[in-house]
Amino acid sequence: MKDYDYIGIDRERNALERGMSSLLSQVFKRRRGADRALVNEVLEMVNEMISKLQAAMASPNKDKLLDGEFNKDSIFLGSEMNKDRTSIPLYFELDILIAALEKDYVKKFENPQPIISMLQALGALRDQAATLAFNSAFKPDEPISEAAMDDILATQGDFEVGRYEKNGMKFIGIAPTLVTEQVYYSNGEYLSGGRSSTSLGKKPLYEKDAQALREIQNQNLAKLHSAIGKYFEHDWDFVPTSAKFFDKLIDIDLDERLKKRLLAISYIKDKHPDNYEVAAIAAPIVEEIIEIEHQIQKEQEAALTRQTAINEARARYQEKSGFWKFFHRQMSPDKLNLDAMSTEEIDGLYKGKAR
Amino acid sequence: MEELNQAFGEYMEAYKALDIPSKRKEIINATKELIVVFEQLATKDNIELQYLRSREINDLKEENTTEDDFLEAELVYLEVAKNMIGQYLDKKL
Repeated sequence: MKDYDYIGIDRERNALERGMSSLLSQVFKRRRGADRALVNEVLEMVNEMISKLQAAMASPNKDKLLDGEFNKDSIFLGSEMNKDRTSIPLYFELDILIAALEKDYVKKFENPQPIISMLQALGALRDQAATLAFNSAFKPDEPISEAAMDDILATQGDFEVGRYEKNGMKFIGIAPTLVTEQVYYSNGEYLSGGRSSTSLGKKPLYEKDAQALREIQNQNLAKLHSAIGKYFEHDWDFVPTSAKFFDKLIDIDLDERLKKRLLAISYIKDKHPDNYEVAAIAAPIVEEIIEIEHQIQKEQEAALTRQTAINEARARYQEKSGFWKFFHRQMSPDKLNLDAMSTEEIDGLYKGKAR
Repeated sequence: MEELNQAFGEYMEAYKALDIPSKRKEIINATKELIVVFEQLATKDNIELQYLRSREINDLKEENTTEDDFLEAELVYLEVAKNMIGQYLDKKL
């Protein structure tokens, strides 16, 4: 598995999406007046890619899809742009491709049915790739929220997962993809809009289920807000941008599994700032966070005790040390109060600024 | 001497119980004490000292100090102290 980070993924994804859209627009401009032929050409290319992907998904080496190796075969329209970006997971690339195709093709033609069929196939492949990534990502660890995840996936279908590795620590993030945009009325219409690509191949979530789910998730979200807010001494709304949150996580002395969970929460919150459904994904994490909070509180108390202990021990030692005895003989001790001297003063002093 | 060793032993035990960032801080502060003491002795004796300067100490003010940052800053403080002591003794003796 290649290493990549969420911030990087977002950045790369945005760049790819812009790049691919730009590429397709250029193709359109160059080929104005030949739309039918272009559609056929694109359909042929993408269908060939779908065949390759389907074969790859069925092969024993399908794990290679996660490594980006398959991407090197120039299977994507954007392959010229992303040939050096093989760290992008396959399902992201497929999602980008779907979005670009929808934007640049489906909306430009009166009868886009062939492309829609193709997009459905791509959507199914994307889900397969994401499932593969998810299973792979969580294989080495004990399941953290699989039960909740399964519930959500069963009704709402899609998710994103990614890994990050830095300084020898591995992180895993999970997030359902645009789940609020896939809430259906019982008659099959959308409760809310959103990118139609994400709805391809999804099971509908009926309104009564959605209401019940939302109710539970509101409760979970409140718990989550409270736990996260307490943990970081900030309001939930303040907690993540990803970058700040991630930087904070790297150096916090926490259990690695908790970091993974917090990163997942951060990622979810960033992607879905007002999405109550996603809180259900994070809800099982809350109890653990609370438990860890207690541990951290105990650790902080212990640290305070240790600091008090060394302050007292240092004072007793200094009373008897030759260094301080000499100094006290030379000078009036009340002229020197090291405890009152700030770092800046001492640093300024030795740099000559205080003279 | 026995009392001093006992007090030092207790100090070391308390030091051993600290976490790494606190241990770093204790070391840096101990070195700074040396600097401040000689600075004040020199001032008392009207001896002007010249100071080494390095920006490496600024890394200690960052939120996430690495081991590299600490070692580099500590070397700066030690060399500052050594230089000050040398100058002080040279002019004093």
